[in-house]
Amino acid sequence: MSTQIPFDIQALIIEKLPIKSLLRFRSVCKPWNSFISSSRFIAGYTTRSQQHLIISYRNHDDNQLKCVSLFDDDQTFDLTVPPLVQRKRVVDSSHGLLCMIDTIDEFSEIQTVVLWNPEIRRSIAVAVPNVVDPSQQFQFGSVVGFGVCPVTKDPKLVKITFIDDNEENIQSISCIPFQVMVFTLSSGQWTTLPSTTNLPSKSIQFDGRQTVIGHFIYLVGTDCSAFNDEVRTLIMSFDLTTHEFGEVDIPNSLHHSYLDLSRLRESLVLLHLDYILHKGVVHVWMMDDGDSKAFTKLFTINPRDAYVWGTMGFRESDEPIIEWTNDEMDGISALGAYESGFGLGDIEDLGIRGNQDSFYGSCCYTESLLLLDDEDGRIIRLRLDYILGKLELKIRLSETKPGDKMCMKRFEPGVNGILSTSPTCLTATPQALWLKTR
Amino acid sequence: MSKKTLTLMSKDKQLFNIEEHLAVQSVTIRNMVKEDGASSVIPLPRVDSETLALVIEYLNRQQAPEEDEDYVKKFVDERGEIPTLLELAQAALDLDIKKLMDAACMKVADLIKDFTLEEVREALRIENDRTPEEEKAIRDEFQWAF
Repeated sequence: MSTQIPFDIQALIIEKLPIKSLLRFRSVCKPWNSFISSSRFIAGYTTRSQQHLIISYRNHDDNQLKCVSLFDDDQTFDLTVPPLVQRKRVVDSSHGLLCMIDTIDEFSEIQTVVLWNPEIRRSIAVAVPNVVDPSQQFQFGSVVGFGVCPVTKDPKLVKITFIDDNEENIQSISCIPFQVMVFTLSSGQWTTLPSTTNLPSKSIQFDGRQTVIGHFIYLVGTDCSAFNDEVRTLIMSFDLTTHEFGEVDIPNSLHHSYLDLSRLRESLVLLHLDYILHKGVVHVWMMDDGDSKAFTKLFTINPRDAYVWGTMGFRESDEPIIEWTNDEMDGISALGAYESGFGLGDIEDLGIRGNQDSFYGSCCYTESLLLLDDEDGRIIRLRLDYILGKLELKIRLSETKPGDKMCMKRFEPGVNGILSTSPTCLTATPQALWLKTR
Repeated sequence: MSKKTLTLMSKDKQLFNIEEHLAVQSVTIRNMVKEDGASSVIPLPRVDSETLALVIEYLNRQQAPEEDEDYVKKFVDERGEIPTLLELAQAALDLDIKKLMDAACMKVADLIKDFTLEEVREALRIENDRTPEEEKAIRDEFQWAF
């Protein structure tokens, strides 16, 4: 056979190549380059990788950010931290993409999130809008959630603004301006979800603990509207395909405890931080994947002669990887694999030391080519803060009058304006700010 | 009752007999049988006799469904030459035998993944349409992967 091999066959072979080969083989010929670099191929290509954890922490000596891949056989690999990722921590990972967020200045005016594909060493930054009306007298907080839509493979960010204030003030506000904004990488823009969708109740506060599994980003929230001054812990879900919120049923006993989230074999795991004899322990609950969606308690992380500071994730064998410390370590934490026993368990020291409370991790199962068609180091800027802050554009909120016509109002930098009605939709492009009003 | 037999004819006019219930693992043959009963000889003008013999051997396998995956893998592993695998993949594509096609392509991918660019072009008979400059540009961008 000396004839050419049909491209159909070549394509089937290319699809089965590992990432490193794909990056090189774009040089084989032009058709290979176009095929591998096409957005369709990039979106469709996912390989199951050996399960591993990616952990970010700060070195004790120099406070430098370090990122490591930790495999089940205890092998660790240092990741080359791209310049954009400095001063950030791991939020979560999804479809081979890691999301990192600022560790300091978290509630300052401009926040950036970095999306980083360590397999192809490519990262981009996305500026997060801060569009709370500066004339409001309430304290607002915000969190950013991350996940790749499993259907379109479009990386998405969801920014939730909440009222970080006392109950009286929460009661007095009718709605939170720009409460939920969604960023999709395909559009490069942030859009405000209309208040007609089932947004989280205004009495719910978030603290950024999240995990993404399948279609959903799960977020820990606390509802401050409960009676008897007792706050209620809850788990909200955000559907990456429909952009709808929901609440996950959790055991009643957990509504009044401190919870963190993780995933194990692609099932939702609740980490219940508790105290036994004045010592912090973690009860691990896993959601049943079947119809019942009930949670079952797996075990309790209660190490001998050590304290648990955080749970980074799990090995395939269920063993948790934890940040731990003891009385002698003086502000330093270590990474360890926890081996459950009856009552107290033992820690296998993984030899990584860092600043206490600086460890954040996410469990990875997949590798992808996401961001291959993007420019490394690109920063997706947003002029919204500029317009709202520097040009003193005030958005005055007032009740919508029935019968008012919908209109889109465009603001360009340099143009000042006052809105008399409450915007129902907001879109920001690098050139302008769009406000849809009724 | 004797089982119904089909006759397949390769590019070089060699005839192969195969029981119909085994042959219809090929979606192409299944459709032909459905359409006109395929009583006579089925010509496969793009498949040579060596490759067709392999395909017939594969279709005649007597594996339990749960062992099938391993069998297909072993089957292509034993025919580890790239030209043979490419012929096999081509035949499996024409005959629409998905498992065999996937396994053959997987094996080729596995064999070429560490090849140099020139070796890939040679193995898959691809003409180099890249200028050295273009090649260098991609190489520079992902230096660490080379």
